[in-house]
Amino acid sequence: MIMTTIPKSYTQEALDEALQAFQQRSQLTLTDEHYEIKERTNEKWLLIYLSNPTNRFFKLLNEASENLSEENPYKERTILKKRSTSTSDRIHLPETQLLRTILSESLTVTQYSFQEDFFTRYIRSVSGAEQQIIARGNHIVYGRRGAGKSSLLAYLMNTLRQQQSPYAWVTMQTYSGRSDIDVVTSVLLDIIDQIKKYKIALDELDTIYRKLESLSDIENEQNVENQLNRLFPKIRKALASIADKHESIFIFLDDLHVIEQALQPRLLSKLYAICRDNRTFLKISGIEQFVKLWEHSSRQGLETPHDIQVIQLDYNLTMPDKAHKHIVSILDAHAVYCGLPNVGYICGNGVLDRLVWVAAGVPRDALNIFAQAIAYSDGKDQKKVSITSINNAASKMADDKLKDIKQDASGKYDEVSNLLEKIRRFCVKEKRNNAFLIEIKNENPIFTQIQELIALRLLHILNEGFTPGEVGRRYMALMLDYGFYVGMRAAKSVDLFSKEPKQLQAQELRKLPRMPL
Amino acid sequence: MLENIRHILDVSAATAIENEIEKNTKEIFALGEEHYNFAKHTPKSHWRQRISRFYYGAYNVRRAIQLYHSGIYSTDSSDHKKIDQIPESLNNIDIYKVKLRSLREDRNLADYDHSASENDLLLTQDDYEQFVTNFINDVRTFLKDKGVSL
Repeated sequence: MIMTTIPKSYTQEALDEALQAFQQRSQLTLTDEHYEIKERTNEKWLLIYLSNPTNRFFKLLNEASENLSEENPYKERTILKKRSTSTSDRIHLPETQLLRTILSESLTVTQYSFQEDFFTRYIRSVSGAEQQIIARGNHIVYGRRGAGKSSLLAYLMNTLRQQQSPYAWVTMQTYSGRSDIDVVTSVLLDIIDQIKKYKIALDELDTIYRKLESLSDIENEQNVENQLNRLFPKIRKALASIADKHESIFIFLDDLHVIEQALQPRLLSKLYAICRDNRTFLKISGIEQFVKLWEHSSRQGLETPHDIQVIQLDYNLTMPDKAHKHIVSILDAHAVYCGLPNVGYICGNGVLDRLVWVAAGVPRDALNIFAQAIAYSDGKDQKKVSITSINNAASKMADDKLKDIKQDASGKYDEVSNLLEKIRRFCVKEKRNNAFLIEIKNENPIFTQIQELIALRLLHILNEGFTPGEVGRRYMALMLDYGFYVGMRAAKSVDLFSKEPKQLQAQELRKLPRMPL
Repeated sequence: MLENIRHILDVSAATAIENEIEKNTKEIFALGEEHYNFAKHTPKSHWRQRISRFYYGAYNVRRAIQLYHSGIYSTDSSDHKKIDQIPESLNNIDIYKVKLRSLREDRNLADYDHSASENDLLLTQDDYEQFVTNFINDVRTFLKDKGVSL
C-alpha cells in the first residue's frame, strides 16, 4: 500500500471510547486479541471479532456508533468480523464468559426476565404447552423445580404485555411457609394494585384497596374472612369492567406450592369466587406433590378438570430424547444470544449428553450445571467444557438441592432427609449401583415420600411403571441424583447405570436391585 | 411514496405510476443480480473485480428497494454515500447497514488503490459473497411480500 496519511484523530482515547460504547451495550469484555486495527491509505478501521456476529450485535454496534461523538473517527469505521473457526481456546472467549453470566441470570425466571428479548430467548416446549396456556381457561402448570413452569407463565404474560391486555402477576414466594388468612388479603391487594394501571373502575378499585388494607388491623381470622367475603361482589364487578373493555384478565400465581398446603385450597377458593364466569382466568404454577388444589372435607379449592386444567411440564429421563432436544435448544438460544454459533461450539465430546443425564432432563438444573462447568473449566485452563467439569458442577449442585428440601417441603425436612440417606446407603454402599427399583404402592407413606424426593430432583424416574417378574406387582425404576456419587463425591466403585440420554430397555431395568419399602 | 399523491390522482393514473415503479424496480434488481452473478463466477484470484462487482450488485439491489419503498431514484455519484439507507423493516437491517458501508470502502480500495492487496480488505471475499447473497435474498423476499413479481 502507498504511504499512509492517517489523520491524528485516531487516538487511543477515540479507540477506547469506541470499544467502551460497544462493550457496554453487548456486555462483552474485549481484550486485545479480540479486536484489530486495520490501517488503510488514509484511515483506520476497528475490527471486532465474534464467533457468530448476529444482527443483534450489529444493532448494538449501530447504537454504539450513533452515540459516539462526531469527531470519533471510528464512528462509522467499526465492523464485526467472524472469528476464525480454528480458535481452539473457546472457554476464554468473551462470548463464553458472557454465556456464563447470562445463564446465571436466567436461572430464576420472573415476570421481568429477558424483558424485550423474551421471545428471542424463549424456547417453546416440545409438547406444545404454549398453545394450552394461552387458552382462556384456568390452568395449573406442574413440573419439578426448574422444569420451566414460570417460563411458561412468563410466555403468556409477555404475549399479553405485547397485546396490552390486562394481567396481574403474584409471586407466591413472598408468602412462603405461611398459612394465615392475611396471605389472601395480601394477594388481593397485590392483584388490585397491579390492575389499577389499566385505569378502569379506578374509584371502585381504590375503595376496595383501602378496605383490604384495613383488614390487616383485624386479629380474628374468621372476622377477616367474613369481611373478605363481603368484598368479593365489588371485586368481581371491578374485574368485569376491565374485562368488558379488554375481553379478559389473567391472574398469575407463581409457585403456589410454597405456601402451606392447608391455605392453598382456601386461597384458590377465594380467587375463584372473583374469577368464575367473569372472564378472569387463573394461571398457576407449582410442584404437584406439594400442591393441594382441593380440600374435600371443606369442599374448598379448585377441582380438576372442570374448575382448572393441568399442564404437565416435565421431560424426565423416561423421554431422554425429548429432554435432550429441549435442553440443547435452550442452551443454543442462549449461546447465539451471546455471539456463539451454538452451545456445542464450546463443548468437548459427549459433554451435552452427560449434561442432560446429570440434570435428569430438568432445564434449569442443566443451565445451572453448565454455567458452573464453564467456571470450572475456566479455572482448570481447559479449552472447552469437559465431562469432568460437568460432573463436578453436578456434585456441587446436589448441595443446593438439599437446601431446596427446606424451601419446598419445609414441614417434612427430617423424614425426607432420612429416607434420602437410606436410599443413598442402599445405592452407593450396599448395591453399588446408582439405579434401583421400587414397588409401586400408592397407599404406602414411604412411597409418597419417594414421590417427594422425585419432585425435589433428588431421585429421577427412569421408568414410571413396569412388571419385572411376578404378575400384578409393578415397579418404578429410579436413579439417585448424579451429584451424590460423581465429582466431589466421586465413588468409583458405583456401577453407573447409564451415562447418557438413551431410551432404556426393559431388559436392562429388570436387572436393577429392588429396594424394599 | 405513492400514498402521498394517490388522493389527487385518478385510479388509472395511480395504476400507471405503480406499474412504472414496479417495472423499474424489477429492472434495477435484475441489474444488481447481473453484477452479483458476474462476481460469483469470477475466479477468486481476480479479487478486485469480484469485490467491485459484489458492490455494484448490492448497490443496485439497494436502489431497487429504495425506489419501490420510498420512490427514491438517483443516478448521481453522491448516492453511493447513502448506500446504508435502506427500509428499516428489511430483515437483518443492522448487518446490512454496517456491511454495505464496509463493502463500499473495499470497493473503492479494490478499484482505485493500486498498492492494496487482498489482505487489506475489511472482510474476506467469502464474507462479502455470503453477505451480498443474503442481502439480495432478503430484498427479494421483501419485494415479493409487497407484491412485486420477481
